[in-house]
Amino acid sequence: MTDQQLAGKIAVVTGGGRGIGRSIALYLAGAGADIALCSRTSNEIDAVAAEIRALGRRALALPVDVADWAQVESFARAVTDEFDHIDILVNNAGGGFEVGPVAVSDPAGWRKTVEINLFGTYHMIRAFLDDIARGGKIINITSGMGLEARPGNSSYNAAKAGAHMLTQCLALEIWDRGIDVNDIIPGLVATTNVDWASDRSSVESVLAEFEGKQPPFAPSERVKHPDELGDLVLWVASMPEGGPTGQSFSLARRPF
Amino acid sequence: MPQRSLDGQVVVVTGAGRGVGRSIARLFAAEGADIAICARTASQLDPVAEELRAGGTRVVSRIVDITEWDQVEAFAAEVAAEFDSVDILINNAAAGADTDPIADSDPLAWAKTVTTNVIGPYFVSRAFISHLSEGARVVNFGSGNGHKAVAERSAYGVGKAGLSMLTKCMAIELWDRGIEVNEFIPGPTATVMLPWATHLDDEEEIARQFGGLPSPENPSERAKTPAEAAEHVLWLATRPAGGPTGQLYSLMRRPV
Amino acid sequence: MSELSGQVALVTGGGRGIGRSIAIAFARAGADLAVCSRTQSELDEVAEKVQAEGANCLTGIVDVTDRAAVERFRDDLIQRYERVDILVNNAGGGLERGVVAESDPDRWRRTVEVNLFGTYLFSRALLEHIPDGGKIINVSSGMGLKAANQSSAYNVAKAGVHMFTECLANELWPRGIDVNNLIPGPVATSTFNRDAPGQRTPTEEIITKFADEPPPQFPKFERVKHPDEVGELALYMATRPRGGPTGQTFSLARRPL
Repeated sequence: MTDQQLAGKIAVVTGGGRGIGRSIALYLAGAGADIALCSRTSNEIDAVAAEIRALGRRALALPVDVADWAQVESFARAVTDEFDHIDILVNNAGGGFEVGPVAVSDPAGWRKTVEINLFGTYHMIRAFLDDIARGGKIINITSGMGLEARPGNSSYNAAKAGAHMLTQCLALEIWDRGIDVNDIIPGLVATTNVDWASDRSSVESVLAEFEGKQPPFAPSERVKHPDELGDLVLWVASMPEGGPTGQSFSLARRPF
Repeated sequence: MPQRSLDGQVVVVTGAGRGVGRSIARLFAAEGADIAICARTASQLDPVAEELRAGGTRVVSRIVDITEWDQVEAFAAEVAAEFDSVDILINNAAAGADTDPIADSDPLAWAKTVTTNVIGPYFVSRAFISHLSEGARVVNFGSGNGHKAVAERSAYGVGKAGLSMLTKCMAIELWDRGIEVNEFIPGPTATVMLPWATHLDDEEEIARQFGGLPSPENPSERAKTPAEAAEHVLWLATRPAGGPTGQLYSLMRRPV
Repeated sequence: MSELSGQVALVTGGGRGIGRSIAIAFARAGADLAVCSRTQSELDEVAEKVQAEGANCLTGIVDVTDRAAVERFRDDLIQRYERVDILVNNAGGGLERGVVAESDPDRWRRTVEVNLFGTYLFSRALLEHIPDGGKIINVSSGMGLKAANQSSAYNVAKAGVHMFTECLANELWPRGIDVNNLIPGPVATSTFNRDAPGQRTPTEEIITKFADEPPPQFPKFERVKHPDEVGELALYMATRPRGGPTGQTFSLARRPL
């Protein structure tokens, strides 16, 4: 395997402006892929696009609300106008918007979490599916929360359980097109989105907070840098045609 | 391509006389590791040991039935006498899939299959546990059959299901020694264990006839070479500290 | 039978099929009912059956994805009965079939909304009115546990419902409210038979149709059952003592899931 194993490939990364999405975009670009990325606002993805171009790769960055089908469809058309087809789709856009018990939850926030994490992933798949080349890869960033219930975050649990199931259903449907579909379970990652850190102003501040300290969820867990996800997604994206499909690749450190 | 990534490391591989076990022993030796191998059949194991020694590898090789505690203990003692500690333990040795419904099964053969596939890896793990280095890696070979019931394959499924649970228990017990324990599922592999090639016993012939071809049981699956599986085991066994533990890595092409 | 005497039960999607059978089984056991669905004629028929058992029946037309409608029905229910002891989230079904590649995004979304958001909205709206010892029963599916082909919206929706049940169980046990999944397996209903809108194939006809063999997506040892069997299971679940199972699954399926 060379270190430019994705030369000539086009990858789409949703939620690519920061954290895990940014790391994934940079790792794929570093391996030779051109990148289309989106998030809800432009500032962060424009900055990541500049980083990608500095690596010598092409980048297209557009603001998209993944919960809005029309916007996703427009995004897919813009990407295929620019690149003709895509090879890798990484559904990373997500996050928790409604935290707390069901009993006092805000229905709008609860719904929004499902919309972004689950419908967003479905919309992107639906919009791009006709334009994914044979040998292509769909990689969904799901969560251990999709495998194991906890109290106090049911919308995120339910949404990620749905996304995990969607990964498997889709794998069963399109294996004969040579497109493999897998999901990634990140485990605990230091990003500015997490709800279990007191100072989440930056990746570094979250890492620092848990340096030598008991992590949440299980004592065996470890709060990791998002670049570890970039590395794992690159590995999965570089598998040959006929590799694993319908599987989960996990960096978690507790059994589910 | 050998990169000597395992220089100075000690690797134990059970069932190394043929198939994936043999491929792992070869690959890990090529990466610079010292190797301890066992199997039940001298005519298979001895040539592997000779081949590795001829390549300049330090080798401990012993005939062991992993269902016999005394033999397993003696193997571990021999390894401990030769090497200071063990860095990677690959529980690969297994009994192949049964083909009878429970109602027609031979009770002693059924029990033997289960014993080999779950007690065997437990005995091996138990014997080596105090010799595992801080930060060691354990990889246990599972199967889709251990996660989903298949008719007329109950002994194999029960054993592999037990091994899956053993993996998770080991993970949650050993994490604070930095030891990471994961289950690895190769999916169908062109060896004598390939369920639809049980009428053949020559591995080269099996690879020739079935390698790369789809499974008659599950059309999305294809039989991979043992060398390909070994590459993935190398990747799994060389994750950095704080990597996945208690997880499942699967090369299957249908949801587990 | 008076195991539910003095209790109030709400069954969503209670106009026909599984929901109807559950409502009638609960009425027979002495509960008063609140039943909602989208079809008045079906609600009227169920109300008759419930009242014939000597029980009260409040009905309402409710789109379970419409938060305001759910809350209005909740208000009517509380005005009538003051509380609800048993909530059965049964409204659901698979609206979008076929492969993802050709799916209609609106229908795919709607399938998830009806099954998952409906369950969430009713749970959210009723929770403060469920007393210690109450029960929530969510109708899940084997399809929520294992992926299939050409039914992703339904698989995904039911996976979400199944997970939601477990989360809710984790949250409500200190209040003595037990939350469990009910998996019916294949049942002889209009939904299962893929009746066209407005068509209602009689239960007995569907049972006869599949008497020798279930439809091809099921293994031969599955059985297409009468919805009353699901009613019996729901009654069993509703009558567990306080501190009974919670976060668990009760299934009539005849295949490992």
